[in-house]
Amino acid sequence: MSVPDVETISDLIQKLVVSLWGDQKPEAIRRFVRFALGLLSSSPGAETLREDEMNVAVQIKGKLEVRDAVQFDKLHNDLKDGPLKNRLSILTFLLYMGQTADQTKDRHFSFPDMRLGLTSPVASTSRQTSQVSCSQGQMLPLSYTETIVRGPSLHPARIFNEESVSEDLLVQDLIYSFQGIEGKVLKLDSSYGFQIDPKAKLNRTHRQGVLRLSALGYLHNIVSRGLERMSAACSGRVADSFVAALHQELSEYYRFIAIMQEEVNRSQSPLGMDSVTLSHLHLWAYQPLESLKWLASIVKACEGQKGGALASAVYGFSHHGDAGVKQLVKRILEKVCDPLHTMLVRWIAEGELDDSRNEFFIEARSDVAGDRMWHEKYQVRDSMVPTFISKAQARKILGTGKSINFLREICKDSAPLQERHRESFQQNAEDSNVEALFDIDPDGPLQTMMETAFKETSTRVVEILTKQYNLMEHLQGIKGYLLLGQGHFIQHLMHLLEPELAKPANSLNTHNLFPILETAIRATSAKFDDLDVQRRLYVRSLAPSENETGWDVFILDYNVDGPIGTILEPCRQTYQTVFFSLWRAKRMESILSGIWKRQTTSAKIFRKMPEVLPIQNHIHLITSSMVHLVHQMQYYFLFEVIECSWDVFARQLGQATSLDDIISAHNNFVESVRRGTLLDENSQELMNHLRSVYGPILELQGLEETFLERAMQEYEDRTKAENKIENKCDSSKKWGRTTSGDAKDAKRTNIFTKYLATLSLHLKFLSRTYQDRVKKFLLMLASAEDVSLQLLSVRLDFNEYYKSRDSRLVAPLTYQHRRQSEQSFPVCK
Amino acid sequence: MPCEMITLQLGQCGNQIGFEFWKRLCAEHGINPEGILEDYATEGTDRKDVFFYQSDDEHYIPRAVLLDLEPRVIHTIMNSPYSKLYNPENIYLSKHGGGAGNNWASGYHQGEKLQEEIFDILDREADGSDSLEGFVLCHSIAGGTGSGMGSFMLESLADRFPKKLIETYSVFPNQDEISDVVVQPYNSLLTLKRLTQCADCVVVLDNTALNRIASDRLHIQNPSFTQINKLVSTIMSVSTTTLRYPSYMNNDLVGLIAPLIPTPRLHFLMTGYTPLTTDQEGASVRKTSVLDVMRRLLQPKNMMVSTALDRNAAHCYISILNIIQGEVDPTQVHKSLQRIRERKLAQFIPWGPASIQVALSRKSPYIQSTHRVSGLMLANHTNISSLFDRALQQYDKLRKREAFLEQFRKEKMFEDNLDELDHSRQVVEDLVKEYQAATRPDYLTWSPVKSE
Repeated sequence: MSVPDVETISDLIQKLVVSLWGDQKPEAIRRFVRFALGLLSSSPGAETLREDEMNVAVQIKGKLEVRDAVQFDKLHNDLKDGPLKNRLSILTFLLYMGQTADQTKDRHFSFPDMRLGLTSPVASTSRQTSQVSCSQGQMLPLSYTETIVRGPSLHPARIFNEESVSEDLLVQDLIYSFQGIEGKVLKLDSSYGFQIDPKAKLNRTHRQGVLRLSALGYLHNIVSRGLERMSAACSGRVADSFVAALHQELSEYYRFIAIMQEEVNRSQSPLGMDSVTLSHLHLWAYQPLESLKWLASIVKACEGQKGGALASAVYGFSHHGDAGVKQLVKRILEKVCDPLHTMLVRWIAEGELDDSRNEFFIEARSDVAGDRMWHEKYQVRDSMVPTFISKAQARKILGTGKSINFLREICKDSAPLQERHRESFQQNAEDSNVEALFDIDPDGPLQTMMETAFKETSTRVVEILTKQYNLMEHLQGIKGYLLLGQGHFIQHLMHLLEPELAKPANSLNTHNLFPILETAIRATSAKFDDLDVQRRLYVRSLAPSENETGWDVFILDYNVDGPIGTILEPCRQTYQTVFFSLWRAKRMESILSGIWKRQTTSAKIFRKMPEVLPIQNHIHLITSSMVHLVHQMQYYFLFEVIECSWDVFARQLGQATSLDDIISAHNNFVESVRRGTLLDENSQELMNHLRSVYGPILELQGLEETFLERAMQEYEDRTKAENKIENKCDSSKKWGRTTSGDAKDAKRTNIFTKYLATLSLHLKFLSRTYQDRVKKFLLMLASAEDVSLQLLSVRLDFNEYYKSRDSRLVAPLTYQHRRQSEQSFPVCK
Repeated sequence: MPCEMITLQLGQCGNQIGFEFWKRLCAEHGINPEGILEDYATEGTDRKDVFFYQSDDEHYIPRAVLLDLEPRVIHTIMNSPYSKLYNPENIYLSKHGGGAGNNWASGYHQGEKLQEEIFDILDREADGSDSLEGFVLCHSIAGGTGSGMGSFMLESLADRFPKKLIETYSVFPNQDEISDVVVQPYNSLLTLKRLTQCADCVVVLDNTALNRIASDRLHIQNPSFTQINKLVSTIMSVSTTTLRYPSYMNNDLVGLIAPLIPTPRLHFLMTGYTPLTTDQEGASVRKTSVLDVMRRLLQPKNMMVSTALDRNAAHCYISILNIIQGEVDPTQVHKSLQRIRERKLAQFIPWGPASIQVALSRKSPYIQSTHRVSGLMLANHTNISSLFDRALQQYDKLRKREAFLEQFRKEKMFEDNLDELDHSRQVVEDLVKEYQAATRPDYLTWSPVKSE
């Protein structure tokens, strides 16, 4: 290319730029022109081609023996005369054909991309399309750079008289930068990226190529710095193995750099063929760049993570369409999961947590023991659950180790099964590889094994609980005693406790009550129960407050510990509350039974005092209406609620395969009992009101007892008086009455009659109060959300007795009605 | 636990049904005829101590006192395999052995004469129990011993054990056949007075209905006493099942009868039982649901009391207790009650809350039942008064003619006058009136008539 040619080209370009861009600032125009020239100067020129042809021919000849070289010269000359246009390309091709055959022998590492890049110009000879221009673009600087190599600092053919950094230097700098080392031109910036030293002069192509390639160094820096930081953080084994895995990947990368360096060295050696250009680097670095890009993003994602979370982070990359990336991630993941796998196997097989750095997705709290052990000691550490392990799986894994520990710590069980299980399990674990861990195939070997381990240990726990620790007996015991299943025992206990519990609460001494409890147990068929169950029964009293009697604080308790305590202890409070409420209902029944029995038996005596008959009748009628309610309520609580819930519970227990199943079934049972017996939050008003319904029952007891006492006194006085008269009649054969005695009798009778009148009023008032409360209770039940409570309302008023006396109860359960009823209980809400 | 019951068997009928009752209880509790627990029954959560006590040698002995004025039935018992079951000291046979001659007055007065010896036995039994709840009296109201001596016993028990409950299983005579006991209406009326005044709960076993059930429902031609008594023993055993197999509720007699008896005199209970089967049938297990059982129990044909239709009063249930046994799903009970309520299968009193109460009871594991679910109904129904009404009518017929009274006049009570008869009639009439009053809403203000 001659100088005038160059000048005309630049003139023409300037014209073109001006015409395209119109009036611009001269600087801008100059910039455009320079840019365009830059582009042009990178395009091929015939001269360079020719020059290069010679060069290639020389190289080929150098490879050939002398005789062959002569032959080659002859053939080459023949070709020059022929119509073949792309001689250079063909020659280059031939050269490399020879070369590659040699080189592959001593090369460990091959550059498929490089070969590809070299073959592409051949393709471009036959198809002169714009499509291939890029490969040409890659190819051609190869020849162009050589001109620079030949003329080291300045080439006369440069368009601009700017001092440019040589490509060789750049290549070397880049190779350095690939390893994160600063070079002459490429300098590290604050973010570990590489920037071209502003002092160095590079043409645009180089600058861009260099910058693009320097990304590799940047990525390398990111990766290696990240790894450094991670290994410095000492965040555990998973992180360590992650770092190790990445280092392994990096070492592969370093090998690549080494080969590249070798290539560069070779090209600079006197024997060197073509030098290594930026484009070479581009080609060669393509694959490493891709890998490093992934490594860098993985490192970025994983930095600061540890344990399972780290594994999750890595796993996040594994779903990639690119098989290469997939492979890469898999390699890393395998290494990362290795420590996890070891921990997992240890945990599942022996229940031991080998996790000093809190990496595993199961954590232990050392301060928890006893009843709470199962519930609180071991937890799934959510942040550390690898994403390839599902929540359910994690729970099962937790359950497996927890069961082993539970058996060991709480059940003191170290049965041979355990040993066998461990052996077979370890065998299994060895067979399976780490890969299986993140293999989400539900039928995979590890998954199957974990499933088996879970089933085996869980079954063992259930077995130990039911067989060795008599879970069913304890549950039956609780149902029998705390939930009043053994009605006769409760009745007897109540009967025996009556004198004690009638005392003020603060003088109640549980030590006095305990022997009574034992007496009650002995006296009833409770004695047939398991001794262990009986031993656990205990009396307890709540903290007494003012004006309370023993009735208000007495509670029967069931002591549980050990494995059974794990299930029952958390519900102890609820059981006590339920007992308390049922006990109160039972007491009402007992009070009413007492009234009924006294009234019935005394009726025979008082037949001779007809004036008390209406009173007795009234008491009887009130009693019977109360008996009805109390019995129905009890029936509802005991059968509809407890017995029905028990039914469900027993069925679930039968199907339970793990302790957690049992616990959740038990919790459901307790919850449904609590809800059913109106002890949950939503039923508080109902319960309070039911308590107020009980009020008149206690009141009636008081009235009835006084009545009975007074009536009995009156009866005895009268009998005495009659006897006196009779005696007198007998002895003196005279009229037996004395005026003084008469007056006394009359006075006494008068007082008694007055008492009866007041009592009658009292009873009327009491009856009304009671009925009003019942009606309100029925209304509240009828307006309750719960259907079973609505039905209970119907049950309690089966013959519509209350309904016929309260119009509100007649109203159907419409929405409107419900709203009204809500309004009508402003106190309740 | 306490709440023991002492059973008194009086007269031919009383001892017969008592015998069947004990046979049944032994079978249910796994006690062999000699009172020894069977091997398969050593563990159990049943309560044998309500009706039995344990002697030193591990024998279970019924808390039963057998009384009769003539030896026939007691001899039969003593010659049966069960002869060793009873405490021989508790078997009292009148030395005369002449019986009461189907005469209430004779029975009553013999009871009076024998009372010291009888109460020696009863006191001993009562002392032997921790906390006696009451007495169970088995007798018939028509004959001489059961009715007369039974009446005396009722009075004395109420007097001597004023705080104990007295429950009776009283057999009412068969109206469908002509009785050879001509004074039956007198006997019945006199006994009814005591049942009204001294007993706390009377389970009416109506021979009329029992015979009808045996022939119509069980297709037995001329049912024998034994067959009838089997029915009776079933009723007796099931009605005590909640005492013997305790569960949540109704574990003592008060708990059982208090919900049934709202006022002291309305204490005559009807029973119904389903399913009724004989020994011959029942090879196949029938799937009976709770609803089936509860519905059938409300059908008159299953009632063990034959009541005439009374058009003058809207008779109704005062209370119902269904004792359901077997494989019962507790959730079914509620549904069944809803159904019964919707279809208005049972009419209840208008003056107080009342409903069908249900006791789900365990049953003996030693007796195989061909039915999944069985049920006994104890019902307090106002229509029971028709039975008393009938007794009054029959009495009146006889009394009008002053018929057969000479036998009564022989006894001390009737030497001077027949006031006792008139008085008894008054008591029974008042009872009928009270039952009728109980059908009306104003029963609350109804005042018991002075009957003294």
